[in-house]
Amino acid sequence: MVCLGARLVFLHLGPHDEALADIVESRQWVTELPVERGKVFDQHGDANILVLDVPAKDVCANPDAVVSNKQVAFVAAELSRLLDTPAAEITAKLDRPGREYACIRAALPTEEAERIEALRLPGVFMKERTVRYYPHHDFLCHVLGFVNLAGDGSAGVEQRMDRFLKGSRGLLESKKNALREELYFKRGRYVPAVQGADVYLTIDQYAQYIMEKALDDIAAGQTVHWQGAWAIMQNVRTGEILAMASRPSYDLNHFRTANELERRNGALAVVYEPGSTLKAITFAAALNEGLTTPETVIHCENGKWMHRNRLLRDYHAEGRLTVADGLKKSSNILTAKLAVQLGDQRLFEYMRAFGLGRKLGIDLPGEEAGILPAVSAWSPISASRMAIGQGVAVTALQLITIYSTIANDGVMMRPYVVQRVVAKDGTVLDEQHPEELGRPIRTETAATMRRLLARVTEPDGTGKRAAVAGYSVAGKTGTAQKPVGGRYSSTDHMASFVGFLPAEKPEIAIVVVVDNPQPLHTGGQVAAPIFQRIASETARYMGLPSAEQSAVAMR
Amino acid sequence: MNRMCQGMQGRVVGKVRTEVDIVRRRNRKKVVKAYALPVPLAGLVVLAGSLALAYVWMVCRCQTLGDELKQLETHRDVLLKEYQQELFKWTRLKAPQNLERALMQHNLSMSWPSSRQVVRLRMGDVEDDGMIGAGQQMASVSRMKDAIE
Repeated sequence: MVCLGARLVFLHLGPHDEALADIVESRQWVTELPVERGKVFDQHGDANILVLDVPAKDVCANPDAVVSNKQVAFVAAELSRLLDTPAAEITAKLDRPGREYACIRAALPTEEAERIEALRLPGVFMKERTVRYYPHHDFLCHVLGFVNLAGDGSAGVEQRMDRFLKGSRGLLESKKNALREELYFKRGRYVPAVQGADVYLTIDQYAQYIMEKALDDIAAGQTVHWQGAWAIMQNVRTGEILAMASRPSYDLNHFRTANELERRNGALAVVYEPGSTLKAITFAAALNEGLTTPETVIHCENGKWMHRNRLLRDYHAEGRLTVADGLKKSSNILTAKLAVQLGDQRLFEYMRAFGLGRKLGIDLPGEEAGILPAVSAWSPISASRMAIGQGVAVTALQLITIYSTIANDGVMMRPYVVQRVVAKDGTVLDEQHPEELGRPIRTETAATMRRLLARVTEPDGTGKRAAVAGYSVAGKTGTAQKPVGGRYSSTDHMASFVGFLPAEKPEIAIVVVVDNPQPLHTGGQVAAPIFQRIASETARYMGLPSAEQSAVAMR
Repeated sequence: MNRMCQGMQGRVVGKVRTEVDIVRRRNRKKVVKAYALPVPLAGLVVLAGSLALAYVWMVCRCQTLGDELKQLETHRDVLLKEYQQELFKWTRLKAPQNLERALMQHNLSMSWPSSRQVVRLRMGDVEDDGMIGAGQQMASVSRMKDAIE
């Protein structure tokens, strides 16, 4: 008793800082408060969620307990049945005596996890956590991007808007009792978690669905095979991207199994020679400079024109054509002659003004600037070739911006996908508004170009397969040979169609690019039908005024 | 005094005070005086007791509030998870892919109506009492009929 009393006195009165420090430390209870990453919505807001955090459970096991109970075969069989995983794979994880932890399946949806929990399998337990979930799997995958295992946005909107979506974890310092339970009344420092803000996109979920389905159905149709395909839909007045799809795609919930090609957003990252779709710039420039009119007649040299000792051919040999017909029939020679008339410097300036060779500043990572060589690097025939889309490379985004500019009375708008970012308390943290990038052509020139481009989809135009019943469509086909090993390939092509509707009062522009389609390979055969399908369904869905309604409205 | 005695004891004591009574009374008073606490000390004791009681009450109250707080926090977390779960289900349910799959399951072939089949009402088409103008209504109906035919 005496000893105990002495010890007690010593502990209370003696130098006890070290002992006290240990006790204080052992009673310390510090926890990080979880934070919910912001959601991503389409342009219709709360109704359409594209990405969210979802509670999930990791199915874990204590292999040692399972082995000691001699239940390995039984547990493996049950888990195999419920998780749809080979029993051998699960057995390999369970049959490890001496080990106390094994993760059988990570991030299982709560409902499925509860079915396993109900079985009360020996040695099997669950670990709760929150996972980033993409309910539509590969839908809009290249725009949304994904979050890596460390919780950082690593592609698409998830990457670009990471600072808003992420939020910040909170902190709570408290004390705990001998049972390791928090002593609530001993709570000390409390730093509340800042929940991630929600991001609202300009994307329309249904328009996106129409676009992706059109691409997938054509791919599944067996009539055309391709290496890749991508498409964009844009509001021509504001520059908002309404839909953006790229193929091949990947499941965002299993991004680790996707390869580089699948993860690539072709619409922004693939730079290619556009071919005839670029002729619109030359025509617009020549009209804007007053060098020609739609009625001006130009000789097309019956399909073969020797310019600076280099031969230029037309796909269909023509004699004399008006400028309007030259665009409708996509004459290379007529376009090249207009370019020569314009001169290198002016052609370059127009191409630059239309956004070639520079990034347009879309709020998505991975945008390429394309290739537009400086005039000083041009050869004597460069203008005639660049005018028809050779020797210059663009992205699909740049291409659609050119046509949106024509559709928008010559005003070029910056493309964007994020409409606004809203904090949990409703504060708008970031909001994007339509932004003008320039005015490469006059309003009258744009109107003339719309009229000329609308003729391309007439029954005798190259883009007749892009025509939409009830609507007038303005656009242009493009078929470009791919450069392979320093030469233009005769078998590998890039087929494209870009246009807008209604031609009289444009609302939306769409571009479709198909990489190396086989056996059909022209833009008119491959890309135009996809455009037609996307445009016709979207026009109905969005309730765009038909040609008849537009005519009535104009009267 | 008699009245006092009556009140305290509940019965009438109708006796004349004797010497003994007087001595007793005097003695009683002396005893009481001898055991009484000094007022400041009593006040201190009462204060200390009150403080101790208040402290115990506050600790209990803190513990109760802490328990309630924790319960509410747990409840909030559970509700949040349920909400997220429901949100997730709802999102999946109304995804265009799912809607189309459901339509196909029931052999329903649906497409968007053409612009000729759609009657759009503008604010100007609706009169003050909320009724569509008779002429416009007829025109709309005839257009619908045309479209259906």
